[in-house]
Amino acid sequence: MSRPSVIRGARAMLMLARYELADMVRHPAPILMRCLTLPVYVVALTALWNGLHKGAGAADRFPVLAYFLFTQTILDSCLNRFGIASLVLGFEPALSRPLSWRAQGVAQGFGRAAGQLLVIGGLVQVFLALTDATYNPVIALRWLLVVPLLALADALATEVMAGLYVRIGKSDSLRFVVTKGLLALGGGLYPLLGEGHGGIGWLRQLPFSDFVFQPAYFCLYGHAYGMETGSWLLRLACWMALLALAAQASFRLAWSGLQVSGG
Amino acid sequence: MSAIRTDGLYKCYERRNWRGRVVESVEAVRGISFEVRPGETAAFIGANGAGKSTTLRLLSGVLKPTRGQASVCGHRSGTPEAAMCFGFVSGNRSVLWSHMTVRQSLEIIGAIYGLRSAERQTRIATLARELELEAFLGRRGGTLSLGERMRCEMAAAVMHHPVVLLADEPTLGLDIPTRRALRELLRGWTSSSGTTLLLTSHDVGDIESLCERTLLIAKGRVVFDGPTATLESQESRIRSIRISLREPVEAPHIADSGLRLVSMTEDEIRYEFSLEELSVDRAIRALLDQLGHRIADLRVSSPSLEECLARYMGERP
Repeated sequence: MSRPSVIRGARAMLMLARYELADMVRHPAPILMRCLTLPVYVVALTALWNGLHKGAGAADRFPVLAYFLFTQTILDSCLNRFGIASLVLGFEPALSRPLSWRAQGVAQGFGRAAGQLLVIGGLVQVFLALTDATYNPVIALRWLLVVPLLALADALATEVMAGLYVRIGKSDSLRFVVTKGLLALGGGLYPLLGEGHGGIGWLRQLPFSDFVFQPAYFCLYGHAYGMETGSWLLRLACWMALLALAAQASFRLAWSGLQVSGG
Repeated sequence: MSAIRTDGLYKCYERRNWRGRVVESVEAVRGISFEVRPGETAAFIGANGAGKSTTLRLLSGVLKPTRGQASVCGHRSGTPEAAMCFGFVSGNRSVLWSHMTVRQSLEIIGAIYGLRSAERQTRIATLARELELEAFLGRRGGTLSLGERMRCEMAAAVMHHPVVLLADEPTLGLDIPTRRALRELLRGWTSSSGTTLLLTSHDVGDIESLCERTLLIAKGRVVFDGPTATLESQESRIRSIRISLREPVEAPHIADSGLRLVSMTEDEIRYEFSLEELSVDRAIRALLDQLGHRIADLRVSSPSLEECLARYMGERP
């Protein structure tokens, strides 16, 4: 039997991603259970926003409920614990196959994250269409545009975490820091501190802003906040290149750990 | 060309501190060299920690040898070419995706090995029939019982028609009927397809029923390599006598008779002797002289394969 070509490898990756995505869409109960806390966050953050912007006029212009629904959807889908565990379990079997663990991991993570974003994002669209008279269906199309970018970023970040887990047997603390960092600096604090107050420039330079705040803002307005959309996409590409390097380094750490300890 | 070949295969696990200095090292495999010919079925056995699983993981490319080489079908282990040649089934580790259906897992594995869609469907249908998987194909991997899962693991391992099958304790934890069924499947499948089998197991039944050749490994080295039948015949001059007692007795020492006391409980005594030193009738006569009417039952037997293996592993039965 000959070595499978790159195209065959890509086909296997597509199939893996497709099955993961389909699994998320067909069996949404676990996602929906996790989403039970989503309205709590959204209501609390919306109240906080409205309190801070009382009389400033900015709140009237900014669709705050929709914004928080999008940011919380992104946060709720990132670095799924089961996704990390699945990659960790698949580490050794993947090393004896002709397709690398990294390729399988990206495909699996992408499908899983995309599935979650589509399920929760779909519900958010339905909710907005029913409750917000100013809702525009274009928002749903913009959401579909950002889903692949977010899913790819999440797949790479999941690989980083899974590699660390294989190496040190634990990555939950780091996962906690990253997800809470996203919540605080990307989806929660930034718009509260920034919009209508001249903005806090350095917060916008962080990856948290590019991965959470900007996608939500893009869905609502069709362009990035405080910069050209092209610049934002370029920044996303750079962050993802860094994530890919981190994932490779994490894989090397996991692999070398297995070689010295035997697993 | 050998189906499996190792040359001075050596693996040492080394734990280092933050300065890179080795603080602990364990030699798991110490320069093992062996060959398995195409179509051969070989057992690779030894005590826990002897280096069996490490050798299989070195062959499969999961681990990289510290020194020496391992190859499958002439391809160096760890390369995609070698990966295409073998299937790996383990009782310890699942290759199925627990949240996907068995069919989906098999499809993905088939695609990874480059099988086209039609080939995959045909192969899944064939394996489902041969391994009686029809009832599980639509179920998620995580919902299967151990016996059901092992059948599916087998299907996953042979999905791409491998020339070599590496099986690491495939019957581990299975009940007796399931274990026998899985052995039958493996035996039927290896004999019909001519696949080379390298099997590790602590179950003597697996070795007896599946493997024509045995490689015994102890402390990282091969200490026996030959036909499984030879392993038993080398010990065939040894006989064991079990005596059931009517009443407890003091341990009788039968001086210079050639009988060796192996074990003793309140109601049973066990002796061993070599036929080169003592005949069976003289051994029995010596015991009757000593124990007489206190003997309730007496059985003479040659050692089982398990006992032979225990001797090789340095244990007394």
